[in-house]
Amino acid sequence: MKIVIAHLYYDLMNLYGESGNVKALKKYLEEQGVKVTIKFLSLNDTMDFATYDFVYIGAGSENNRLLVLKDLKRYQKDIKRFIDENKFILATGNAHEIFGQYIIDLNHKKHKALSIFDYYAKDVDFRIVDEVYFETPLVKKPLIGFQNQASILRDNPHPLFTVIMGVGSYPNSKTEGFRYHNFYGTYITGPLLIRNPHFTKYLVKTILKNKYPDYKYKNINKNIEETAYRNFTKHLLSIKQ
Amino acid sequence: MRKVIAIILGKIAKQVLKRRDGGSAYPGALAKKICPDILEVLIRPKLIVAVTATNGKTSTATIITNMLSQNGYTVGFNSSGTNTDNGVITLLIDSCNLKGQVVKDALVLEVDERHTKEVFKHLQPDYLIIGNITRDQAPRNGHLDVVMTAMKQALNDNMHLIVNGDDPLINKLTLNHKGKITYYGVSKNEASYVKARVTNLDIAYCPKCHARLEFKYFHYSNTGDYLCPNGDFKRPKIDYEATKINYRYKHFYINDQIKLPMQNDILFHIYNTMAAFTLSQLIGLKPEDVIASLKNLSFSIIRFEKLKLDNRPCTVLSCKNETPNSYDQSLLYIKRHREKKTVVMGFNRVCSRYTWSDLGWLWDADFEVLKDSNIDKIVCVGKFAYDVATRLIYAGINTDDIIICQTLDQAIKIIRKKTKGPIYAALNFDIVRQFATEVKEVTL
Repeated sequence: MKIVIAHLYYDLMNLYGESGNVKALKKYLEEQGVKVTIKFLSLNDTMDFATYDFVYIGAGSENNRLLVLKDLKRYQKDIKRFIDENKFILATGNAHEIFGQYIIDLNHKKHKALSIFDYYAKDVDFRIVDEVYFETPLVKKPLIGFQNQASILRDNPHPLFTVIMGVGSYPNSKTEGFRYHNFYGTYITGPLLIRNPHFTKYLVKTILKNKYPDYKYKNINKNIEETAYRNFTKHLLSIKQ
Repeated sequence: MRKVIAIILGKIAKQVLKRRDGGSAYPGALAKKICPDILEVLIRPKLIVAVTATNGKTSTATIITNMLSQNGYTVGFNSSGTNTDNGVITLLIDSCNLKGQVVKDALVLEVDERHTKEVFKHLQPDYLIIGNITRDQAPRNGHLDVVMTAMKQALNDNMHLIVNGDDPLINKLTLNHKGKITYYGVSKNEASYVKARVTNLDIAYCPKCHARLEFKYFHYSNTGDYLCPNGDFKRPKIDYEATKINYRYKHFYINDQIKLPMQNDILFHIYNTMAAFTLSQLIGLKPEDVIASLKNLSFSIIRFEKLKLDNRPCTVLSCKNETPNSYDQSLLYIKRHREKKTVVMGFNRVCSRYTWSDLGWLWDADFEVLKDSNIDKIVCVGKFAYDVATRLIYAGINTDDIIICQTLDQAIKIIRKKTKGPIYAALNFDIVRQFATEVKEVTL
């Protein structure tokens, strides 16, 4: 089995330890006996979406996000096809805004985005910062993490999460994230695939089943990661009270 | 009149607090409430030096204060870590007479990067030292664009900047500065490396033409000798450069000519000393007098302590959570010492300023350094020990070489019983003092 991961704009969209996500994915896949290749790609690089199985983009500054949007427009059609063909994209932090209709900056300027999904994003003059405890029907246990952004997402038809703790897509929203086929977008920043071993396991199973229908998941000991998750969940629930 | 009342009440508050616990910015807050333009109406001393940086503000300001004092200056310094605008007002109130005249020859201000704007609006320093800019406390700062925008608003062309020329972010920040700039830096040395260790540098592209920056060598993170391939941006010509660094015999030279002593073998200490030395030359101190003051440096560097645990050397390196560079320096220090060793890492609180526990920064720090640092065991301690252990596994450390414990007590017992070699404790500020105290207790 072979999987090619493209880590896009690794040197611009990397504010909160996002590199951990690709490291986690690589490790979990290799433990299943998969040969993993990671392509680190950025501004002006040639991209060949037909050869990727999984694309990752992390959180960036508001400026870098617009810079990346401009650069990625070269591949708008390829990305759309990539999603329609059920291939995988994980876009964390403000990166998932790039795939919507447009982004409105603080000067009210409208930047046309990739226009693949219906939502739009808007920059705000404050930062939304909070611990995250989000539920999704895809896995049994909620996800932990952090959000740290100066923008909000609106008109989202397919949220990925229900908010238990945290801010969500905008202040007082009950939902967060976006899912369509195998596109997963969320404002959760940083190494969510490290910190949520159950979700990473789910992703790895889905990626491999998708490409290799006969594949059977091998159970791997994730005791240390799972204990870190459990301890943190306890800590979160204790500060909630 | 308001000014006099503000000064008197501020001074009383300072005295009362001094008896209780020392460092507080409350007197300044009180004085500002009574007299909002207090910073403008006080009469300045002949020299004001401000120091800002992500790491090393207090150490640099302490070296400077010590240097000035030993060269005949009377000096006021906001030494208790009160580096916000209220902290600076507290210092001024403490240093002035009832007419509002600062009665010291010089003020040394340690200022938080994002508070520079507020402080300098009213009290402009003659010299501003910028030591480094790097990602730090993301929940509070957002990201570096936010910090840099605030700092940019704080600068004006009348300030003489003294900056670390090895840091491309400072160069980016001061690109449009029309006033004087003096650069200090560190030359390539035995600990420098040529290939970038991480993919997530704080700045990877030229701020003018967006071409990918090239680095001739690194000291840590993105600090080193860099240039834009189109010639739009590069490490400036360094006016005062630390050369011929000898970590073993603890000395280095300035521009190959003047030999300076080091209190310890930490790279960061060289940077802090260089900042102070550069200032000394701009205000006309004699190199030999500066060297004498550096030899007499009487403060214990907060970041660093050498102890013994059962006859094993135990080096205590304070690290700052949420500031990956602070860990990187400790990790590179550990790597530089080649003997088989034991490392202790951990924390109980991510940050003392807020209750959030963001752990993303663990993945921005270069723990991979430990993989080839000749390690016997790494002891992970504290409430987040499993998160630290996870990071270490990904950094390539063998699971069998990682020991997890909840308390410092347990950690010290395990270090004594089950580990070998000199000990390096790279612990966050919240538990580092307690660790040092417990080590001293068991060794007595």
